[in-house]
Amino acid sequence: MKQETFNDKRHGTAPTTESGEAAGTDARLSCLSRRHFLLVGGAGAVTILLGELFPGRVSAQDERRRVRFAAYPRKKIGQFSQLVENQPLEFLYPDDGPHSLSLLVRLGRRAGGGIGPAQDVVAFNTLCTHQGGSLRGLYNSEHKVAGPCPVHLSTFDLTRHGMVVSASATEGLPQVVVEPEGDDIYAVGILGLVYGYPSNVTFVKGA
Amino acid sequence: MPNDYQPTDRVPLPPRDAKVFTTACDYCIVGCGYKAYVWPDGREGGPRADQNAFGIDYPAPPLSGRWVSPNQHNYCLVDGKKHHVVVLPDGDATVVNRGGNHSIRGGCIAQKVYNPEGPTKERLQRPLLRVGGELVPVSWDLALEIMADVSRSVIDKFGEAAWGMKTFSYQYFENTYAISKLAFEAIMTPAYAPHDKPGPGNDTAGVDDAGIITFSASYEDSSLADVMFISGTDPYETKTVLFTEWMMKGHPNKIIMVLPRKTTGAAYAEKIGGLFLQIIPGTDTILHLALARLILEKGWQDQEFLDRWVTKRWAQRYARKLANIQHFSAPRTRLTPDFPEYGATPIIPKSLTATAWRGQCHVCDT
Repeated sequence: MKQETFNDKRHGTAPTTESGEAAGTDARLSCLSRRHFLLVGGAGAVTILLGELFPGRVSAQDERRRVRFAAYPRKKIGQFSQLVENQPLEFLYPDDGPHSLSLLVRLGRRAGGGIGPAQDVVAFNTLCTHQGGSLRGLYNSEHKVAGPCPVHLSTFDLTRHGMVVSASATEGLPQVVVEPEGDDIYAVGILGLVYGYPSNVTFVKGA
Repeated sequence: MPNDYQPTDRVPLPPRDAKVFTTACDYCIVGCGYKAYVWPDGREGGPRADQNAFGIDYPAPPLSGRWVSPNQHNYCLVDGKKHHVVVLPDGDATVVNRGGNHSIRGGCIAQKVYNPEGPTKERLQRPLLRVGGELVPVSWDLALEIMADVSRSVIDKFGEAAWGMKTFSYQYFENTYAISKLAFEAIMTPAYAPHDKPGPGNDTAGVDDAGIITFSASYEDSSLADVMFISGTDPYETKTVLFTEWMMKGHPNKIIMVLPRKTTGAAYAEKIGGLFLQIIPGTDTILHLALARLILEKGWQDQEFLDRWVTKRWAQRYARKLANIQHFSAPRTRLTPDFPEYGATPIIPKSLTATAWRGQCHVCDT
């Protein structure tokens, strides 16, 4: 089965990293095979460089960060044509429980892991990683952050993979890894541990 | 440049038979209770209540105080063998920090545990002496001998005042007792500087002299205060659980924050009907004195409180001094652009309950 990658759907010229190197054909093919392996091969979690997970979509300073990425269900969560800048859409991922409440948003600013021609479409879990306060409806379009959480004021940067801005939280907001397929947007994984879970994958039905 | 932070999507849970140690946080003055769970590497607890040390079924609900974030887990050595360690706020505590709240500091205590496979492997383990520009491990005996010889030489040549001590003063008395005793009783030096002070003096000299001890207010008092005036610090940042667990939960609590930048706590104070007074650094004493004068001129002070609790002689002398100043002009607009009009809506209620909070390396003097 053919796995289309974001590179196939990218508008314009081949993606480049901030250092000016073009993401070459080799990188695209290796990403294709790795993604295929992760999603279909049932390999469980692997350690991967952030720059390999999101080729061409990560700022230079974050490219060499190692992250743990596990196999998750692939779920359609929205469409590009639905997205209005700075108006988040809600979805549930990786399961249908309350901890899975997430947001998908077109930021209007290039973001780490962002998809779309402007690399500004990102998705995050909306449970504050401090004590599980809800960040629902707390997207700040001026600063591209989620928060402050109403409980203890934690705030997260949605352009930098959910990094803590000011907080009591000891973990960034978990980022839902998203992929385009034509106009459709798919959730394919999560970076970071969702509040309340000892393991994201344990609570994924059928995983 | 290596980047060690690895977002992970799972965390080991302590099993039911994990060893539990009750302790307190290593960091700020609030002093939250913590529990450390330690168990051998090679096995883990599970998400059912009968499988983990917390006795809860996962997923943990919001505010449960029982979710383990990845930064609350680490590995350590016990008798040379690799063990897991999870450090969580003590959910059983009924004082100070109730219900498992934590700051970003306390929430990361597990990361400072010595782990020979992690960043803390670079911990200092032996005395080191710089020899020819290089740090060389030496024995404790040699280190103490050198320190004693150098001390003796300095004291003989220049006197004990030339021997100074700069020390921290966190956690428990036991931590600082021995070194303080060395400075005061053995060396008898006056050159002693604890924590954030150049010398062994009061935190807020003026306030202490007036008889109001800075730390006399209890945490519960901060949740009961009608108004809090906080100058030169943001307790959200420096005493987080005091702010989020007590000050934020106060009602109808109004908070006035005097700071050069609008930090998180200041933004929150402003949002809930308080005030953010953006100060030009160096002019805060002028502001404090101007406010004190305003209060006294308007007769807004709680005279009964002053008569009963404040060192009268000091207060009366100060009030007389202010009354004698004929042409007192505080450059109001330059100090704080949003300072309310003099004589308009009073910004401080008639009965003023003053709580002076000391910030890190700042002193609020009134």
